[in-house]
Amino acid sequence: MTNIQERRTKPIITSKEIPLEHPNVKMKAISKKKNYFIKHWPLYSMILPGVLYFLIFKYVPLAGSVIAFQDYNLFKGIFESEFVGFKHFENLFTYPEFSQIFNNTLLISFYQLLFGFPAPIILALLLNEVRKMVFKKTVQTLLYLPHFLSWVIVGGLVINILSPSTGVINEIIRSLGGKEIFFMQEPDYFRSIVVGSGIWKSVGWNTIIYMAALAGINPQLYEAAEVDGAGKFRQAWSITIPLLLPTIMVLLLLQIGHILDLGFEQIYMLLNPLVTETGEVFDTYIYRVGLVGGQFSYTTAIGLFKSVIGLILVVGANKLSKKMTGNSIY
Amino acid sequence: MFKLKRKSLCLTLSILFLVFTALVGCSSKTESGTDKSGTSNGGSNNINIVMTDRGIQAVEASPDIKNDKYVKKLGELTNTKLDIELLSWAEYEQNLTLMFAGGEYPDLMEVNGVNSPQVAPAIDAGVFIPLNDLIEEHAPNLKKFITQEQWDSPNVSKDGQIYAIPSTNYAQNWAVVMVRKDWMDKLNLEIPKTIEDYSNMLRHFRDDDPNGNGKRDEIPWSARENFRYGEAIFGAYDVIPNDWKYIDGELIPNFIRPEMKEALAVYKELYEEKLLDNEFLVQQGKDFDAKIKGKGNVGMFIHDPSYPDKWQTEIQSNTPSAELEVIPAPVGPDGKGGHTIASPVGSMVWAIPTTNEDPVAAIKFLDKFYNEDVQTFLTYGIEGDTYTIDGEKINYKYPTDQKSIQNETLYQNFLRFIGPSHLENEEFLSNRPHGDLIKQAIEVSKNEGRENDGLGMSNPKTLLERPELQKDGLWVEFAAKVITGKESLDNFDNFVADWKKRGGDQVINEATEWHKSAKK
Repeated sequence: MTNIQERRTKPIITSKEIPLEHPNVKMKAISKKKNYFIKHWPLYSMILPGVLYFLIFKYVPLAGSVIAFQDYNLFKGIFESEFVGFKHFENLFTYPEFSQIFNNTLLISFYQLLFGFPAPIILALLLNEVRKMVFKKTVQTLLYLPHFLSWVIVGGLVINILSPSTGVINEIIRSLGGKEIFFMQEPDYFRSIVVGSGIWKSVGWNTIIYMAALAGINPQLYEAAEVDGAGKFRQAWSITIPLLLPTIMVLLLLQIGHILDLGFEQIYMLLNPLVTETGEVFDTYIYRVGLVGGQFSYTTAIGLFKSVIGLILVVGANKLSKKMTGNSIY
Repeated sequence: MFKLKRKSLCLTLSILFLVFTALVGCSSKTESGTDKSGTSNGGSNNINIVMTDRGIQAVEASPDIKNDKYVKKLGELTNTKLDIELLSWAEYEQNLTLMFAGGEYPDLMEVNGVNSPQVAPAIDAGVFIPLNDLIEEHAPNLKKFITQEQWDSPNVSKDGQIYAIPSTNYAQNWAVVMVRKDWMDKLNLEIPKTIEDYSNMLRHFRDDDPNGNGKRDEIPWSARENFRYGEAIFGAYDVIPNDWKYIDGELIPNFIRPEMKEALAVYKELYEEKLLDNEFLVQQGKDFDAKIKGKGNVGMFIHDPSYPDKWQTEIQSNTPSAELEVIPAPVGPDGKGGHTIASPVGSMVWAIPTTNEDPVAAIKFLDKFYNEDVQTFLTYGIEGDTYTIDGEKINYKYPTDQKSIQNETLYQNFLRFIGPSHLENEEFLSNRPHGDLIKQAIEVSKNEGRENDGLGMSNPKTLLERPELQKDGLWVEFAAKVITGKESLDNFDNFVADWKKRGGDQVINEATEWHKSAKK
C-alpha cells in the first residue's frame, strides 16, 4: 500500500540519489525493484504462462527422479517407498550387456550425426540451386512427406522392402544372379538400416530451417561474387556455407545434447532377437525392463544417467564451439 | 500516461480472459465427459467397466463401442447401463500400469490374473475387494457354475481370498497343428505322427508343387517371431520354452533342460532345409496372416483350436480350393506331444476395485452372465438380426462373409466376460458350417498337450529385475543364432552355465520356493 502511495507522490528514486550508508538502503532497493515490477506488471504477467509451463511440466517432474534412489512401489508412492541409495546405478553398471548397449547407442548416434546431420544441409544447398520453381516446390513437398508417417508405418515399409522373399532389393539381387540377403537378421546391417531409414524419413523436413536461413542471405553478395568471376562452387563455399554456419552450429549443439536419445519407436520397430547385439540401445532396454517388467526405479536411474551424459556433452560442445567458431546456444 | 495504462489494462484483461477460458475449457471438458458416460445406454444400474479389446478387429474398428448395438443389448438383458472403456490389447500391460499409476479405477476391471506382475502389488495394496462374502450372498449362479478348481486358481485367489471372478478357459490347450488337407490329398500323404513323418510331409510340400503353379513358392511351415505358434517340436521333446518342469526337487525353466538341445537341433535342420519359413524369426502377426490367408502358400501352421473354421473361410476367400485339417502335433521320444496345457481359468479375470461404491451391482451383473437369455445372446446374437426363433428351435444365420464373421466375435468373444464358451454348445456347433472342423480341433487338443509344473506361478522376482533371463531374452537370442547357423549348438551348455551365473540360479531357487508353497 505504502509503495503505491509513494509512487503516486514521489518521482521514482534512483540509486544515485540514496546515500549508500543510509540505513534504509536495502529496503529502498527492494522497493525500487518492486516499483519497477509494479509499473510494468502487465508485461511481466505475460511471461507467466511460459514460466508456469516450465515449472509445472518440466521442473516439478524433475523431482520425480528421486525414485532412481528408491525401490519405488506404485501403490506406496514417492513418499513411502524405501530409499536404497545407488543400488540401481550399481545394477546398471554391472549389467553384463551395459557396455554393449552403451556402445550401440553411441555408435548409432555417432553415425546419425556423421551422415544424418549433413544430409539436410547438402539437400538444402542442392535445392537452393534449382531454378525452376515448380520443380523445386514439388520436390520439396515430396521430400517432406515421409516426415508425417509414423515409424510403425515406415518400419513396416523398411522390413517389406528388405524382405528376402518379397522385397524389392532382394528381387534385384536375385535378378542379377546373387543370393538373397536376410537384411533384417544380419547384425552387420542393422545400424546402416537404422541410420539410412532415419535419413530417408527426416531429411526433407530438416531442410526447412536451412532453406529459411538460405533465403535470408543477401543476393547482392552473390552478384558481387559473380562480378568477381566466382563459379557456383566458389559461391557456395565462400558465401553460403559461412553464412549458414551459425544455424548449423546451433542445430549441431542441440543434437549433441540428445546423443543418447535415439528415438525409441524407430529402433523398437526394427529390432529382433537376431540383431540385439548391435541394435539394443538404452531406449529399447528401458522399455523392456521398465514398462514391461515394471522396474520403474531402475529405468529412472538409466534415464538419469543418460541425461547426465547428455548435459556433459552439450556443455562441453558448447564451450568448444564458442572457442572455435564464436557460436553458442547460451 | 493514462492512455498507456488503459492500453495495458486491456492487454492484461485479455490475457486473463484467455487463461480463464483455457481453464474453464479444460474443466468443462471433463464435466461433459462424465455427463456423456452417465447417459450412455439404457438400464437402471450404472457400471463403468475397463476391459481390453482383446485384439478383436470389430472392437478396434468400432467408432463408439458404448453405443454398439450388441453392447446395448447386453445392457438391456442385464438391466445395467454399461459404460465401457477399452484398453488396447497390444499394449495391455503398459496401459494397466498407467491405470494403477493414475489411481482412478472403474467399477469393474478386467485384469490379467491377480498374480500377474502388474496386479499382484495392487492386491497387496488393497486396490481390489475380496469377493468371498459378496459371492456367497449375491451370486447364486457363480457359486453353482464355477468349479472349486477354478476358484482355487492363483489367477483369481490369493491366500484363500477370492479377488476376481474367473473366465472359463474352454480350450485349455491353446494351440493345434493345422495343415492344408487339399495339399495332402493331392500328394497322397498320410497324416504324420513323429517328427520324422512331419519332416517328410513338409519336404513333399516343398518339392512337389502342391499348389500347382509350377513354382517352388510353397512355404511348408510358417510361424511367428519368438517361436510364437511354432512350438510343436518343443512340445514333442516336452520343452515348451515358456514352461517349467519340477525335476529332482527343483523347478527349472524348460529352455535350459538338456532336451532343449535336441529340439533346437531339429529346428536348425528344418530351417536349413527351408521346411520352416526362413523369415519366421522376424515375422509379425500380420505378415504371418498375409502368407497363410492372402497368398495361400503355407502348408502347415499352428493356431488356436477354437476357430479353425474362420481360418478356412478366410483362406478360401483367396484360394477357393483350400481345405484345412487339424492333425495331432508331432510326438517325441516318449510318444507324446502337443502344446502347453493352460489353466482352466482364462488369463483375463474380473476384479472389483475398492473405490466401487456399489460392488453388489457389479457382482450381480456378472452373475447374470449365466442366465439363459444372456447365454443365448452371447452365442446367437440378437433375435431378428442374427437369428430367428421357429417354435422352440433357434435358426441362426451362420455368418459367411468377412464382415459378419467379424461381427460375430463381438458377442461370442468380446462380450462374453465369463461363463461357458459357445463352443460347448453342441447344437450350435453341429449346425455351423465347418463346425466339424472345430469339433476336430477340440478333439485333437483334448488328447495332447504338455503339463506345465509352473502353471499359475507369477514371474519370480529376479526374472522381473533381469528380464533378459526370460524366454524372450537371452534364450531366444541364442536359439535364433543356433537356428540360423550363427552359433554352434555345442555352445548350449555354455549358454546354460552363463544363464545360471547371471542370476538363473536365483530364479530357480525362487521358483522352487513357490512350488513348495503352492503344491504342499
